[in-house]
Amino acid sequence: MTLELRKVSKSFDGGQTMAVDEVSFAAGSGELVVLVGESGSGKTTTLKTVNRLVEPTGGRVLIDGNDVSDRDAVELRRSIGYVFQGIGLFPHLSIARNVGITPTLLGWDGDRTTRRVEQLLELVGLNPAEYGPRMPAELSGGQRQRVGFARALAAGPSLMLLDEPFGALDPITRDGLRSEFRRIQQELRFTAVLVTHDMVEALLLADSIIVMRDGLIVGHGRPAEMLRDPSDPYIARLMESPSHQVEQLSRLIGEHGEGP
Amino acid sequence: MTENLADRFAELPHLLAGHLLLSVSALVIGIVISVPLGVAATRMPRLRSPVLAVAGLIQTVPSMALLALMVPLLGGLIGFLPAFIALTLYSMLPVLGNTITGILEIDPAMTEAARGVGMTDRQSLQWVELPLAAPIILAGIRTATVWVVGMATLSTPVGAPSLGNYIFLGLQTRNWIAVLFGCFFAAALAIVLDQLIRLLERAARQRSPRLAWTAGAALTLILAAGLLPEAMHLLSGSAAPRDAAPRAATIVEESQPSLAGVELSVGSKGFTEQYILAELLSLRLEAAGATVRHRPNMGSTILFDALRNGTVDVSIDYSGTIWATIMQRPEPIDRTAMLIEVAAFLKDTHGVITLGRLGFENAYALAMNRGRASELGIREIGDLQDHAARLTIGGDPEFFDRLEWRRLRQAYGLDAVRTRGMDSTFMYGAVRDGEVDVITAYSTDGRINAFDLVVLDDPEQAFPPYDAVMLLSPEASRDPQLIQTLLPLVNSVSDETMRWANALVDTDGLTTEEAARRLHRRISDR
Repeated sequence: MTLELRKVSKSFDGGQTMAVDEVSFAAGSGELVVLVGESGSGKTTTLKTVNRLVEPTGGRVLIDGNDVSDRDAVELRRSIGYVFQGIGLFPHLSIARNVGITPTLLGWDGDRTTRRVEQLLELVGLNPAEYGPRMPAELSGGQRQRVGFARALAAGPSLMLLDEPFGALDPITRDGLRSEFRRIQQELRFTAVLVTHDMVEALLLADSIIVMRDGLIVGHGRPAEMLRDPSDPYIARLMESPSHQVEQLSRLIGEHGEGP
Repeated sequence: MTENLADRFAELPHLLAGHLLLSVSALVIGIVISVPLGVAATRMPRLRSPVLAVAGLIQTVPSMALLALMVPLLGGLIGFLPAFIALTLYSMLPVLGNTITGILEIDPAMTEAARGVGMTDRQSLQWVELPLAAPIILAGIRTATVWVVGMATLSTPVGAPSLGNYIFLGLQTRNWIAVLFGCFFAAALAIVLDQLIRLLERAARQRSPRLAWTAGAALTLILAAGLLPEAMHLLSGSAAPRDAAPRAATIVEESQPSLAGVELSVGSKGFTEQYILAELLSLRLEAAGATVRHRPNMGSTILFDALRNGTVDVSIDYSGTIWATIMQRPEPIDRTAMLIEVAAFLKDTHGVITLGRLGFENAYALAMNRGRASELGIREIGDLQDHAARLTIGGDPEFFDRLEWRRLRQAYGLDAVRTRGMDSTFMYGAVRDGEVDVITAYSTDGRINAFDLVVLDDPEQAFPPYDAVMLLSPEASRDPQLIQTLLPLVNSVSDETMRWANALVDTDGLTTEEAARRLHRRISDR
């Protein structure tokens, strides 16, 4: 399952300003691409053009070589997993029904949906018997985000879109969930595009990183390349903060002599 | 007092059922229209302000006027339908407004999530938006329910039975127990429904299906209990054929006419005498086996329209009233000639049959406090002219719109007199206490003597004669059994007798039912 964006543009004001300006990139099968940038950089808008929550004003989005604008938008969205910023669970539906929503929309029978929901809750580390009947309000932020992942995975998509999936979580939960997500992604081998403003997160997760600013791609590359040779001054500045933190941490560990 | 209460309780199942049926059907249809309309308005922003403006405009029409307007709009139809349509319109604004607000106030992240997981617009509405907006929509339904249950009490004058019958009857006949009785049950009904919908609202907010089922079951139970007596009545009555003509021909000689199984409706206007006479007609008809519904408190023209189209079978009207308001004849003529002309006109133009005079005349007459009249030296209506600019005349609002008032003003030069419309039951006290100088009294009212009022002479004969006549709808006039039953009432009530019966209610505080029973006895003993 490959994804390719060709010169995708989006303007919300009839062309005066471009929220996304001729963005092109590709994600190979099973690859995890991270779009990173500050708020207002156009990264979320770019993500939404993939499942047509936003219709681009120019350019093409191709999945396995086929233009998504040729497909029915509703049917397209059912085939793509989506993890929402702020999680986006339906507060009036139980956890089990939230997870089972896309299979239900696809017309799966009840038994099949139930089995799938149980399997997914186990995959994200929640006991189905205990958590299935609960309402979203009864769960912690981390548990809710696990449910959000499970819901996005429910129909077995080969492409996942994730919009700031760890944004609302405390650092420890975020850390645990991140590695768990990476494990699941490598296990299920789906292609994924993840949006974040956190450079560290991008470096830790990505197969390849796209840096966006003011609707434009200002740099891209593998995490190791980015760290070694930040081509653009803006990227260099983005890298400063994590590198600085790492230096400070190493110094701290060195002083106390507990390092390896 | 106890007999008053007993009479009130006897009517309760019928009136409560009428009230519930009217309110609930208006609410259900109101909701069925408003929720989809509200949803459409959220989808089409250009629809939003016109829809809300129209609903808001309907709301600004006084509820009584909205009800009254439905009658001419439906071509003179009275009863359930005009009241139902007015209440439906009235219920729409809160439901519509809350549906729009409820849906627009949903977090946009929720609707985007709905699209993102692959819902169509319809699925998003059904599975996400409506459930999330449900508490707010239910709050709107609750407001509408309280409004509609309250407003349903005003549907009595358009001929739909409701708990308002108690209130209007009580107001017209100074029966305050009846007023309180009507208020109590109308308020109790509103409170109970309000609380149950509040429970539904809480169930929606807490997303508790069990609570929702409980509230729903309680609602159903209350509706079923309220409507059951009426439903049973309808089921048992539906088999009764109305047209008894073929068999009737052979049994005209029979002294005891039978109306067994026949359903009849007796209409009346909104004052004591009319209530008593309607009860009197009902007593006779029921004695012959008919099931009688009394539709009280209608305006003159509404009542006549109802009679014409058969919504009401029998009513008592007055020759001068028909002459002036229905026939629009400006000049009064001789009493007997008028009776003949009226009867001929009613039959030829509307198919309404004049069964005969009841025997008394209830004329409009100007009356004054005796002290005030002698102080100003007023003996006849013409004497009012010199004081016209300083006088206030009180009367029922209908009167000041009638031909008689125009004639009276012209004939006696009363243009400068100020008028003050009030319910007829209050005007006698008002003139006694000096709040108004003159009133448009009814000549049979017991309070003219009781309050020591003088009736002013009418030398110009500006007022036409007002013989009380029994009228039958075209359909009812084809039933010889019915005519047989009512004929004995012709010429049975003298001026004196009617004044006595009115005084039983207005000054002695009896119920109209009791006054009718005594009147019936007095007539039968004759």
